[in-house]
Amino acid sequence: MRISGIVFLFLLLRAFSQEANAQACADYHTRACPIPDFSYYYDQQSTSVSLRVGEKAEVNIVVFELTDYFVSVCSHRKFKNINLRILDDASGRKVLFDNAAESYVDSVKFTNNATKKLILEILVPEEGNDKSDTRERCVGVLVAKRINVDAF
Amino acid sequence: MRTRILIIVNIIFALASCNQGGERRRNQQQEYKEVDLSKQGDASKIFYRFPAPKDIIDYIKTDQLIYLKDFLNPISNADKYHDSRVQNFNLGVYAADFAYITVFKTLSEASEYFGTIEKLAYHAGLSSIFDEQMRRRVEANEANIDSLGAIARNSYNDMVNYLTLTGNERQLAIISAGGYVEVLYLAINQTDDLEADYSLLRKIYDQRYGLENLCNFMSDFTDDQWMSNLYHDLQAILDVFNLVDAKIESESKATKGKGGELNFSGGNIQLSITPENYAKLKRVVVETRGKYTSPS
Repeated sequence: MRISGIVFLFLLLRAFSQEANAQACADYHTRACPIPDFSYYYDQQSTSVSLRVGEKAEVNIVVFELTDYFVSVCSHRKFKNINLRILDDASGRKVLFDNAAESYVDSVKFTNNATKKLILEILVPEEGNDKSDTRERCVGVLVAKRINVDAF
Repeated sequence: MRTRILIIVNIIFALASCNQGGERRRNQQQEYKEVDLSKQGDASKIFYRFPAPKDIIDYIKTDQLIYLKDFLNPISNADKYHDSRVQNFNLGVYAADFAYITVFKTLSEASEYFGTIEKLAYHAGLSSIFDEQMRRRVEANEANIDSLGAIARNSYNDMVNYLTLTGNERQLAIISAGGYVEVLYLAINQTDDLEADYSLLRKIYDQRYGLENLCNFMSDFTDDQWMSNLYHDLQAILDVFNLVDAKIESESKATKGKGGELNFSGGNIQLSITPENYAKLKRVVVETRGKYTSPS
């Protein structure tokens, strides 16, 4: 009885801590992600997630035509590399950008010519990160946009 | 004694897990090495996000679009919503109306509609976002369309962040549904001329992407009948959108410019919008909007 009580309490606290961790991460991107210059507006599609080394998240967003976008990633200092890939949903998840090929840069700017769904794939790779670290930590994705001036 | 120690250890462990302090931007300077990322992270956490009403209206707005005051939800309705979920839905509706007003520079209505948002936000527990101070900003900027636009955008973003941070994503789903339905309603009543207004129609049909993401976001909260009904009403709109024959004209590709910026081109989709489909879309949007905005 005592052992089952301890196990129950342990599981309860673990569940609580994971939930609290996810909640603590909710606005992480607003506090830690690189921001673009003042000509961009914050996009509410920005988000933060809680990940471990080796884990991946997909953030499905919509981008409008003739609009410039800025996407940046940020994470807890224990994570040295965050892999950001931008996939086109309609083209069979074609990879349009992969920061692993660019020394894991933490931001990218792009102009988009057709309204579409994109997938921002966020991975905490084993490459460059401590594989023995099993803790979930915050990873943020900031999206900002502006009207493409060349379109007018 | 042993049990107590175990409990204390567990509590310390749990609290330590909560601690996300000391965070800072990650180190950018890494040596590049080839790594097969496809073998990692097979299990994904999937999140769905969608543009805000102000962004959609900014996008849809073309020279063809005109200001139709009669299609806004009358502010007199706000006092007649008594169910908290209906109040939340209409908070999204009025937020979309406010964004629409600011985009069309009809400044005289801006303050009235913001007052209505403030009232519903109070009932929704969001008075810390839409507060007296912000109302004073709206009143002080009644002649400044850029400031009003920024207030509409920022206040909505603040609300989304607040609801996410406080774990009220169910409420966010309802408010967002109200915003989407209202934007579609305002846009779809602009035209019946499919040929003359193809550019506008295409932009309206582009909203199927955001609506699809919203439906996926909402699918986590359909455990009660009211939410399930709302989900199915949105899904019905999406189903009509998806009846249109869509053909990808060219494959998406990314090219890099001189300044290092990327250009995502291609991926254009040619839609064959028929009068029947548009009429059906209009009917389902009007019915859905009427169902949730008609005072009880």
